[in-house]
Amino acid sequence: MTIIKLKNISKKFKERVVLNNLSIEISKGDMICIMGRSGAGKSTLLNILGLLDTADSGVYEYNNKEIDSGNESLKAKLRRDKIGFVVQTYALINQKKVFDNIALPLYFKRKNKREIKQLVESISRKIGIFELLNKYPYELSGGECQRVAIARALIREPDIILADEPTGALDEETEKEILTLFEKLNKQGVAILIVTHNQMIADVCKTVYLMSEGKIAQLK
Amino acid sequence: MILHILEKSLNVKRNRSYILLFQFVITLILVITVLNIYISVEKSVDHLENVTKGLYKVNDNFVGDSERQFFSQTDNVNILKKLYSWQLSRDEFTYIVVGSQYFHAENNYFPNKFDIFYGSRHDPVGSYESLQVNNAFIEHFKLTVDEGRLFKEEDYHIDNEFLPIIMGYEYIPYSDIGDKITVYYLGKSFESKIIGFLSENSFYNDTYNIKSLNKYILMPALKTTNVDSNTNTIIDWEQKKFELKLYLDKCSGFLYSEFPSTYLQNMFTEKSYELDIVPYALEMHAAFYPTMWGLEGKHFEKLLFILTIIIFASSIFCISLNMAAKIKVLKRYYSIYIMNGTSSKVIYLSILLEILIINFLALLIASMIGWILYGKLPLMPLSLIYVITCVVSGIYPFFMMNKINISRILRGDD
Repeated sequence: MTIIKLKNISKKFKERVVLNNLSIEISKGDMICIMGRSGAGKSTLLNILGLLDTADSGVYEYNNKEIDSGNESLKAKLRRDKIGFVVQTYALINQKKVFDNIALPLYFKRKNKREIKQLVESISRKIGIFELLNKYPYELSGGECQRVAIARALIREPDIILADEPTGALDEETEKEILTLFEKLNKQGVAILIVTHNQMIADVCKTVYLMSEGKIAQLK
Repeated sequence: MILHILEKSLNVKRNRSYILLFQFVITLILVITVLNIYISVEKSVDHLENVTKGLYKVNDNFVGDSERQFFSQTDNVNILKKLYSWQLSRDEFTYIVVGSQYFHAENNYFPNKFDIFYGSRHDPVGSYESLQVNNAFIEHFKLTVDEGRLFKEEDYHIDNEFLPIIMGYEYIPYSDIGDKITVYYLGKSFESKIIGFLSENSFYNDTYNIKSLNKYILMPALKTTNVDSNTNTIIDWEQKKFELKLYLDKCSGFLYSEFPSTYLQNMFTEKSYELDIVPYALEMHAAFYPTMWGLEGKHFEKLLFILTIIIFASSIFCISLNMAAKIKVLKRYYSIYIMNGTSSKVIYLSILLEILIINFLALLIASMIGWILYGKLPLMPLSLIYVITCVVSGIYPFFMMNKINISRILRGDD
């Protein structure tokens, strides 16, 4: 079942073509890795897939329905309910406890407190960070922070997780742990797309694409 | 969702919220101060202009022999009564009675400082500045009382038991409402009763000068009824003599009109010829312009207005900069919110709401301080400033929000 389909997407930054008539399809259960040099357009593609950015031309389909790039509230709703993000810098709010960081999408969904508590505790147990719930992000290690970020991405029960260099700031051992976690989630049916330079991640993924000069080619 | 973001925005970097609130309060207090000065200057300037513009002094031309001859014929009071009735009945102008004769009180009733001879070569004799006025005088110079009341219609009859008088503000420590004083006016004795005290700094324009009424006594322009002026039956020669003087005084008052002076003068000349008296002459009142800091009132008003605009504009600039700085600090959080399911529109609305709340709080605080300092508030301009500040302060954040590059911020590049 196709989750996201991009057809003939193009994007320019001033005169520089970043994405050139690119098409890609992500289905349920996919674990995709996108590799490429810096400036190849990997992150731009990830942002367009995650509805954080808009393409200059082309079609974006979610669950086979075309998404109007001007419909901000629908895009926000999809990000809130269907698309999880994990980034290299973790994107956690340092002034809020781990609990609140994980619960952020639920606050936006206006879930009641009891339900939020139940969901956060359940997901944090699954990821193995239950004991960290009352700590602040600055009290955690890099690997713990990334687990919190993954828990936040998962709490909305997403169709897909988009990860931008998720292990870029981690040591090798923690990297392995995070990748194992991704694999586990993928087995549970969550599609995962990882943008990285890291060959180890590519080895784990089922599908590998290489991006160069705004175009994409499947390697695996 | 908006409230969640708003709470975050107010709590994170709380000092910035306080700085914003402080800026708004200072701006509004400055604006209230300048506007208060502006409003009182405008009021004074308008008041002065209004009591000067279109005002004429009516002068009789009885001099020397002609004066003596006119006064020797007590029946001439009929002529003056006709002239007075004509003056009151004209639609072209409003006739204002301003008779200025001294008031003599028995036993030097008031302290010497009120006596017209105080400080001169003469000894004080109990003579005080007084004006015989009608309601047009009170209305034109916008007189109000600090205590008691102004004249009523029934106060104008000469055969009342008491002659009602209104004292200038400075008489307050030396007399009370209801005090009865025996006075002499145009050689006639009256039992007078104080019915009110004028507000402080009441004034009138006496053709060439603005005169404070603080030391004046006002009496009503008396209507006489006990002499039949249509016949030659003289009840009392002295009474007629008094009436002649009284009406001469009443006929030489002021008039307020928007008609040209030549037109008005022609009217008076024509009427004087008709009554067979030396024509009355009109004299234009001197114009007055209050000056402050070396500027004429209107220019001062302009300066204050420009000052308000400058304060307002520079404050808006500072507030916008502060908001921009705040957004810059919070843009990482905003990016995280957007990544987790909110839209930039919602974030922008929360910023606007924050501006509205802080500005409203500032308005309340500044209004309270303004009220304590000045006892009054320019409500309309303040409301307008509140709306403009909220709208204008929201423009810069709007552009800032559109410039946020979420991808770069989340990667830590921005």
